[in-house]
Amino acid sequence: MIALTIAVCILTIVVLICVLALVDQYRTLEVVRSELGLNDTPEAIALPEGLPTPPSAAGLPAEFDGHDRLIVLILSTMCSTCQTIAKRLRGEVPHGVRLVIEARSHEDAETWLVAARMPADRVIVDEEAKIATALDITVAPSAVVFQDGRAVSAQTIPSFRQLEALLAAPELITVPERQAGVA
Amino acid sequence: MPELLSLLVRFSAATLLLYAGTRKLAEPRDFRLTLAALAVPGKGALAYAVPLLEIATAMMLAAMPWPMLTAFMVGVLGLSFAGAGAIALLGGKNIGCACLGRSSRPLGVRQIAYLPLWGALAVLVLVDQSGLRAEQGLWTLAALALGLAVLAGLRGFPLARENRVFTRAVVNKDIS
Repeated sequence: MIALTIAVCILTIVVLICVLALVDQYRTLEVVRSELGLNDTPEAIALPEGLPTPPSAAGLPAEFDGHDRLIVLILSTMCSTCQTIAKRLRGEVPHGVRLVIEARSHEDAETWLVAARMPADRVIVDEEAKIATALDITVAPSAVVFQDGRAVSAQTIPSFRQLEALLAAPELITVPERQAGVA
Repeated sequence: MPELLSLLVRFSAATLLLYAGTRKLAEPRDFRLTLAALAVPGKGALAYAVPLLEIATAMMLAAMPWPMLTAFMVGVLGLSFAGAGAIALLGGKNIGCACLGRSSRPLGVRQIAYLPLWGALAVLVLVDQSGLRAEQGLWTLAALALGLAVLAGLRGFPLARENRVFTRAVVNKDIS
């Protein structure tokens, strides 16, 4: 009986070692991701005081002013992550989101939108980043959250899953709003 | 010394040694670096010998089959820890302890200060052999090991989930 007890004791210790080794592997993976810059943790963007109010003052369409809560997703034709995010949207702009594309020209934006399979009537083309500059956003992809016509927060969107996480925020689900195409 | 207190001290020490030994075997890199920095001979073998000795001592403290041998093992471990602290202090080196796996705390005065505690534990093992039978002691240690595994698993679960979600995002090309 004592031999069985010793065997069980040793087996539980082996289990403990295996679990600890597994946890160590996950920690190491995190370190590797961090070292290789593969982390897609979103970062908050500080919004300066005195931003234009309402959104239309920053160059966005006037229909934005009337929304309780709205996310303006800013993508750029210059970044590959923006292209990935746009492709993953599969031609649909999510409910409660407006898409702004930074581009050098309308032609540049159109070429990019065709490659991203995104209909041009679903986006606002921001030529020479005038809207982004007015909102003091220098990073793309990023998102600005508007509440009652005021920019309340902004963050980077380093991957599509982080956009999904932002959209899954409970306060965004309850917004009663109809998706409208913006020219 | 009351029997319950004696058992508590013995099993606390056994749990500590079990945790230290298993962490060193599960994450051997930092402990190997510590041994290399201490410039001890046979560091390759010691990287396994020390944690195995810690686990064996934990089992002996739980089962108490041979008190003399158990006290001797506790003494050897206490002296080796204090010796490592002394080498680091005398050499003026800042050597990571890796006492409980990954650790940024340096070896030094702490390990020397704990020597009397290890000595006291060895004496306790010799003078107070009351308590659980060997089998009961081993079952208790197995339960403690299982408890530690569950705690480690709970701690690792968010990491595992994050890695799974991240890997899936890479596969789905959500991250470029």
